[in-house]
Amino acid sequence: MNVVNQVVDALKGRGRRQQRNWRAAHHSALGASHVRDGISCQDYSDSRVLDDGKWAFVVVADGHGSERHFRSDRGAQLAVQTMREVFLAFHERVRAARESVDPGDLHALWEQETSHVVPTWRAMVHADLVAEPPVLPGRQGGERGIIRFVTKFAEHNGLAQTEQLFWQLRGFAQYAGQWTAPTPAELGPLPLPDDPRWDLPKLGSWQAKAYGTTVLGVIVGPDSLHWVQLGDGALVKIVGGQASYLVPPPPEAIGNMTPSLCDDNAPDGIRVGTIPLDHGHVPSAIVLTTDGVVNSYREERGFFQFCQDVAERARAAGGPTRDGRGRSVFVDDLERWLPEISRRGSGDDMSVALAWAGEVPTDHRDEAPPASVQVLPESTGAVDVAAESAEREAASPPAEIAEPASEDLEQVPEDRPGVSIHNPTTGLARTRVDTDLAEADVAPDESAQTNTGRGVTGDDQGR
Amino acid sequence: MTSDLPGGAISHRPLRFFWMLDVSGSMAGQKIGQLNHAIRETLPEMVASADENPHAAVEVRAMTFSTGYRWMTPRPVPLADFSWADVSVSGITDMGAAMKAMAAELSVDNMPERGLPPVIVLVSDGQPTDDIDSGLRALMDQPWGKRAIRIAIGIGPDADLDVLRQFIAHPEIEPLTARNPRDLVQFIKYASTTVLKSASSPASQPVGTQFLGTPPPPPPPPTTSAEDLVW
Repeated sequence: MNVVNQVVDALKGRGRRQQRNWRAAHHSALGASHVRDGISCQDYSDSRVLDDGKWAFVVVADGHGSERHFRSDRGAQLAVQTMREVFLAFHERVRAARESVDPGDLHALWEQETSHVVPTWRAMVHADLVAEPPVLPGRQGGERGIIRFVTKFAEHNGLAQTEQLFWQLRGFAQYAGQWTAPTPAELGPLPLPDDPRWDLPKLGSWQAKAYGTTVLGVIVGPDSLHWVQLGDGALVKIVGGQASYLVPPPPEAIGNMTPSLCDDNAPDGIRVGTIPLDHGHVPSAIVLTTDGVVNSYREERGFFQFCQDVAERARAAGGPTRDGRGRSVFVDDLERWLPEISRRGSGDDMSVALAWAGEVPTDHRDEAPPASVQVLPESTGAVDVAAESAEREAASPPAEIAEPASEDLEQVPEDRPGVSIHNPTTGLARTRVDTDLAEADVAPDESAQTNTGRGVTGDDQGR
Repeated sequence: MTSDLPGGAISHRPLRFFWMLDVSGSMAGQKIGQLNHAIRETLPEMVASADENPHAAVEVRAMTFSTGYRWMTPRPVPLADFSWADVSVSGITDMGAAMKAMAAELSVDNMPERGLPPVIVLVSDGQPTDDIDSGLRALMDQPWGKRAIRIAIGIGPDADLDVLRQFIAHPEIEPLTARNPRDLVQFIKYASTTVLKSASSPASQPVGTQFLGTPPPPPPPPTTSAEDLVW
């Protein structure tokens, strides 16, 4: 049975399951070394709950931060904005598909939507650059980042090359002057350096690098979980109270090197996957972090313990406080913890985005492990691993899918494409908690979930 | 959780700093004496520089090579515990064998998974007497070898700058040529302070970058007056 069929069957069988009521929270904190060096937070994160808790998404991005990536804080913010659009579009398409006779191929939809990640991000970068071209250093000062970039460039390159860079910055300002407040859609993706439409000698190839960032994202729904990975950081699931990688970090991501959205071949480096939840251990929580968190722990198990602890704390803290701010005590904890972990650990910026289940399915039965595991090639960007499931009640009618609560969409920040993002570079933490639950409920013992789980997804095998 | 903070034990990121020193017969006399002096005397400044970035836990290893190679430190030593024991000279320049030994040390199994890119400082006054090409290939075949910040100091006019450039393999980093004791001291100090501090930054770099490793700030200029030429 192929993955698509499993997903379709999962959709057909969803009526048997209890709603999980996903909740989500996130927080990004300025790293201790950036506090010391006066550099703004290069991380960005987001989380949201949709459809009264039937869906949730989490995303983190880590701007590279060194001199040539002088706008990577904005790059990270645009990466999160890109993923937000991808998640919402995917969610809408899944809702539409479920209303049809054939629920369709969820993973194919996910692949289609995530194929827009790189071009959408490059279009946003393009628009941001055109709206606010880097200001050359001069008597009136200039953009701090571009001054650092040019200074570093001049240290290691000859006078002629440095002069050429100045001309390219000026050339780009002229290029940007052709438009008045264009949208990303009007401009299209920032062309690659070898694109014949791009005047490389005049404009250079520094533009996308300036915004270099990683991005990790997960959207989880009633029947499936979908992930995207481009770069380092961690995608972690909590199953049976135990943390493990949902997807291992890319093998090339060692020693501060990471695949990046700014790479010319970024579409080849992006990895996506779909895991049908009906057929395996259903995670009670998904934890995404940037590498600053991972690198602060002496051992991997210490980091996994961190994921378990924050998931446990999130569930214990429950929903928002009654003070009207919609904040959870859990976020207060993150605000306190992350800077301290950075200070004692890597010194890097830190982001955590977490989705956790307020309720756990009650009809999952104990089953034997899967008879076989199907591994699809990573290069296809397809589902990584899916297990052949035991017999299912394929004829079960699909349940009604709740319409997304309108207030969910109203919570979308007004940082739409085409609007230049002006990061005040205050370095202040960016925080948000989403929950659709009016009041906190008590989550069942997670071990019970595992003990009664149906089959094994095996999504972390074979990689 | 055992403390107020979630998770297991927290610590700073390891940063391995490797001395890779030519102690062949041609280094006899003032060269080896000044090299010993320079490393020993700049050690306090190295410690001070590392203290400026407490988020990197610097560990030092030192290797000498002549006829074969020798690890002076069997294991990485925390910088605070590192002391310099003078080295003596003899033999030929088996730099290729030394590169292979360094490559083995930089294997994924031997390096800390969450480590910062290591720093390797190669000091030599002559030409390799063995197969340097295969040694350099072995080094660059290692992911940590490619990601290392590689600095080379040539002592005197006989240093093989072409080999040193191949070792560095970065167009924005040139070998440093010491032509007198003062140059040697300031280059050793540069490598153990400025380069070390630069390497301890947590900034990431895309793998699509043509040349891996962010180059450190430029070195101090060498002495250029004719009367200062010693080697």
